[in-house]
Amino acid sequence: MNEILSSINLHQVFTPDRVAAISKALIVLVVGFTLARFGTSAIGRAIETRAGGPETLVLRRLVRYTLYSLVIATAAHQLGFNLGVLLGAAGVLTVALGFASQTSASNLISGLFLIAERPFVVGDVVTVESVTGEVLSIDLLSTKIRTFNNLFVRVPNEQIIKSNVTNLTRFPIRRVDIQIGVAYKEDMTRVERLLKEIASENPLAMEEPAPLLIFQGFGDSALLYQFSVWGQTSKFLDLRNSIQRDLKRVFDEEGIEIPFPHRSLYTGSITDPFPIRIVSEDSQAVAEPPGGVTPPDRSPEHAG
Amino acid sequence: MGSSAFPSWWGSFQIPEGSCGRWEIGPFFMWIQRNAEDWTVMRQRHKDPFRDHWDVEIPADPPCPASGKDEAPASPADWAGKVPHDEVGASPPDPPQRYAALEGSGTVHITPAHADRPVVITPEQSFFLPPKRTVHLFVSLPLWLQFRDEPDGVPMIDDALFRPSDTWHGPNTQVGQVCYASRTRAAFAPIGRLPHRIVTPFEVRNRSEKDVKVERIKLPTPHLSVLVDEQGGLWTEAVIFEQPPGVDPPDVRIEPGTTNGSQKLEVLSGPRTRMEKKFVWHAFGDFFGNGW
Repeated sequence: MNEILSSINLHQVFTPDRVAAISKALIVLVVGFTLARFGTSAIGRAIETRAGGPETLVLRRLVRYTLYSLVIATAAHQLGFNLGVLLGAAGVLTVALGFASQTSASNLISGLFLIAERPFVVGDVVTVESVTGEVLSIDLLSTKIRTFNNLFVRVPNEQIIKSNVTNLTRFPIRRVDIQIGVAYKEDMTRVERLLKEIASENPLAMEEPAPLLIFQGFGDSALLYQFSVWGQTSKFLDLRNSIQRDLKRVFDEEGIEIPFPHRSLYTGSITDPFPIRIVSEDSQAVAEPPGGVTPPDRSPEHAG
Repeated sequence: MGSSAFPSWWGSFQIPEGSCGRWEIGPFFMWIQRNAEDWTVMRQRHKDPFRDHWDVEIPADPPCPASGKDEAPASPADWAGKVPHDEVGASPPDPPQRYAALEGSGTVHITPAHADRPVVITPEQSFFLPPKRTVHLFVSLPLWLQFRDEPDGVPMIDDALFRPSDTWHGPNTQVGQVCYASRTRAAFAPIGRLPHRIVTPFEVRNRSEKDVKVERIKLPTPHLSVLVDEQGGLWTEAVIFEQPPGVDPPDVRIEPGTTNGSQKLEVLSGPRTRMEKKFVWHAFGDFFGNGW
């Protein structure tokens, strides 16, 4: 060991030129990093006043790392490194890394697009595929969402760019659509009048835009309506609950029937009615149906 | 009773500890009970927005149920028993709420206030205003009630005496403002009074060369004061809408002196928010039209 150390002549390693180059490189690093920090802050403030939002953070980081890279490259140049060779090596390395981290790169670029496009901001409530919740943060690789049952969901930015995103809180007002069916026996004019009264008496249902009533058609068991009312987005659930509660109450008070699905069975106009037999507890026939139809014989000897 | 020169439901009222006061203002009922450490308040509403009756009773008869500091707040069912049973159309009472009381204070300050958002009034029948003509109108607007236990404190309760419906005022469903809606006759002469509403006189001046259709007007209620005349009638300042020539949107101006004639007016409560300058309150293009 001592032999190795004695063979290294420090005077040969730290020549005056080399010491000067190292000193210059150190000065470049210290001054450069300090200036880069101040420069980043100044540029960041300028960006913040013009843009604001999540892109500010990303742009600040981009500026900072670009400046740091320039400082390091200049320091390396002072030390006598050939930047052309370094850049070439960096290019090869970048290609290799690019192949190895395709997914991350895709998410990164998607994140930049997402930040530039701003389909939502932090605090919005969004639906991405099957996930609905409040946006906690929009980062370069992923977007973090808190669902309403307080689960933390990390959605890759590439997935957000590729899929449909619904922003539920972008606009201050929103429409509640209620599908409702009423029995065929009901007077349609009266039903429509009652629905309008229900909307006008609920303070959360807006007068303008006016409530909308669409007759959807003749359903299997009911006359089908779409009843739509507008309300504040922030009170959407209150409105949806209260308007349906009001609807049920008023229909009950007014005797309007909301029918459950039912089927009427016919055997055709020329066929006889269905045979009916009332069976007592001991399975013996006690009555015959009207019309003189003889029920089929179910006595043990005929059965099966 | 109130501290005003005439009987009124607003003002300062003494409620001794263990006692309860009852306010009945149009369709709005309120009970306030002074406990050792807190105020317990319960509210209830009638479904008729034009119910024309007011009364203040201290102590209330029958008294509110006791709700001392060691007791849980009275249940809505207990309180509901004190609500007049002959009031057809009264909704179930809201759950009682408790507010920590100012030490040593047995005084409640009840103040009428304006709506916390602009009110869009819709005349039952819209009308046209020909060019170069001015019309004077009177509308009644819904009032809010504020309850404090110190004169300049933050209100413990700031609630509508009859909650109007929400509405939207803007050029489309993306841009605009949430307001309250109020249907009105927009009378051309001073109108009858209700205890829970306030009268706003306003003028529409058409300086343009074409007819202006008045079918919906957004009133800047948060910028208006509550004034009271010598008979106890509630007024706001006059609001002037002026349609200038050309296609510019109308200007809105609040006149400090009201237009209710020569009556002397006293300020009961100031505006919720101040206008920054004289002509600032522009709406979305069309003040008088359908607005969206």
